[in-house]
Amino acid sequence: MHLQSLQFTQFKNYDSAKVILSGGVNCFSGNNGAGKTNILDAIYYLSFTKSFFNAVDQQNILHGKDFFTIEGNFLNGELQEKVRIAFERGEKKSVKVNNNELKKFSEHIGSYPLVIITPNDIMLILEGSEERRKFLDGMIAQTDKIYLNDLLYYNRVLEQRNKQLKLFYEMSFFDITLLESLNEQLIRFGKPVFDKRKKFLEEFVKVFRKYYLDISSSSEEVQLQYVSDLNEKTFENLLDEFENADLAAQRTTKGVHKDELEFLIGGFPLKKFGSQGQQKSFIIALKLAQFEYLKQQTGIKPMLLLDDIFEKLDDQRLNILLSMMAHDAFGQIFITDTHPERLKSVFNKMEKMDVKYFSVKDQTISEI
Amino acid sequence: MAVVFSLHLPFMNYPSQLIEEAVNELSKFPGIGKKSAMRMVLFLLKQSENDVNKLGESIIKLRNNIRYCKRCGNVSDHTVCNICANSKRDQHLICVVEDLRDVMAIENTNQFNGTYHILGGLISPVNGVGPDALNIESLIDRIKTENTRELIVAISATMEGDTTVFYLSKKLKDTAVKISTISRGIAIGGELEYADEITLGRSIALRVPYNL
Repeated sequence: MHLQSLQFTQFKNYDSAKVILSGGVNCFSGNNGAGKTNILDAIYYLSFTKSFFNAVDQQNILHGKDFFTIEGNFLNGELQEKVRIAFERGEKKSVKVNNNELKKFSEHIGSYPLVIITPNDIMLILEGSEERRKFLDGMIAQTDKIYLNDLLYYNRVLEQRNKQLKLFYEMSFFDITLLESLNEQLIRFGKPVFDKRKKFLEEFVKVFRKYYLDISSSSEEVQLQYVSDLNEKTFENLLDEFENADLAAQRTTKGVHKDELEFLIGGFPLKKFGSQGQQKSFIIALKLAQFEYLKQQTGIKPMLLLDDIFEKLDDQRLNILLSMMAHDAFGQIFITDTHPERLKSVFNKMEKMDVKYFSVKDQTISEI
Repeated sequence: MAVVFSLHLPFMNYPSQLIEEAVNELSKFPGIGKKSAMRMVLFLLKQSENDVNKLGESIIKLRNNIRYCKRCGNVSDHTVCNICANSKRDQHLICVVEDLRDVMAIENTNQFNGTYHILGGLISPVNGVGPDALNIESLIDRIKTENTRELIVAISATMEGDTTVFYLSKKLKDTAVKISTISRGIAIGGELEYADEITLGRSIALRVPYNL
């Protein structure tokens, strides 16, 4: 599967643009702020129906305009598939596949698997647990739609339960049957989320360790530790035991929304004890493991989006990535860089590869 | 002084206070904005006085004379609705639904010969709807006093629907009533490949024995 062409109008800093893409490597070069990353984000939209960088659709419209559209033509085996996303200020976002309007965007996730590596990934290490849960959920959801559905429902029940806890407090009343009814729903969707996260990580951590060893060429032990309230006790018991605490706090204090994915190196937190180099290796290994996992599960090589990695990676780590490319480990690749010469010198060496170069300047994308 | 910005743009200057009042009232309907309300007003002005009076009277009569069945909560012209009063219907079988539209849909199937109970909504704390805002207490009383044999829960398969069903069954667990829910899954005449994965997955998990 690959993306054959991409066009967008009034998206981010572009008025309109169209590119015919290579099924191999696509290199986009241009100055900072020219809009290279926005091209990657448009591709991300086609896969996830939202932006990687800015969740507010409205803020992805070109300044002073009222709507944006993104259209991509995929070749899936022998089949042509057109994905079209349109968003107009004040309207509902529209996603069409082969001109059929999608009712639920969650059904689309995973149809066009994609892995993105960007300088922002360091946030996974530095930020709070929500970032890591999102990363984990994103990986599982791309191959398991029921998981995504359970997670969405879990969050909705959680919102209802929290609201009810507030109401109990504000209106000074208590209805045990009502709370139990909400608990039942929370457990019904929370339990499979826990089970799937746990099972996923058991497999995933093996692939991750293999890549970490390849990349870092060192022997520190790395670990992805799944920390969940549900590891120790059943969800039923937790909700029972913390009923009073929840009523006092007016929110749900235990559950999978509190899960944490700890990054450990040599048994210690990576954030505090990992060197910058170790942190970078950790992130790249995570992303490559994600790629491998998606490939195994879907049978499709995901699209790989590499944002500005030449700037951020040292030669050793970069060479490992490039040698993987040369050995045909990846499918379609999209790379951005500020230096066109650097891209050319790297990929000219790989003769077998189908490479296209684009220059990004003054809101236009042209093949060079 | 606080400045209030109107969301109704563009600002309309009405040539008559009468028109403005009518537009304001009509635009309270769901899905009707000021522009549509204006069209309705102009339409009304073109009708004969008699027709418009008939419309006005029917609306006033509707609001003043409407009654709800004291037993099931259905809309009724009498204190007890036609369905509840019909002795040919199974009075020990109750179908619980969210609102009047569900009663009409089930009646159209001609497959149900019991009575109904209309909740008037679903439990949703976020929308400010708790059990006490619904006809749940009256249902429990009814089941206890009427010796109901079976309760069929015909409520949408949504999160709010499921919470409501669970609440009901909890509240009724000490009674002898048998509780069932309508089956959920693949539409009749539907092709499997067009069923969404959640429905199909649930249909497989909750498969039913095939009897020859």
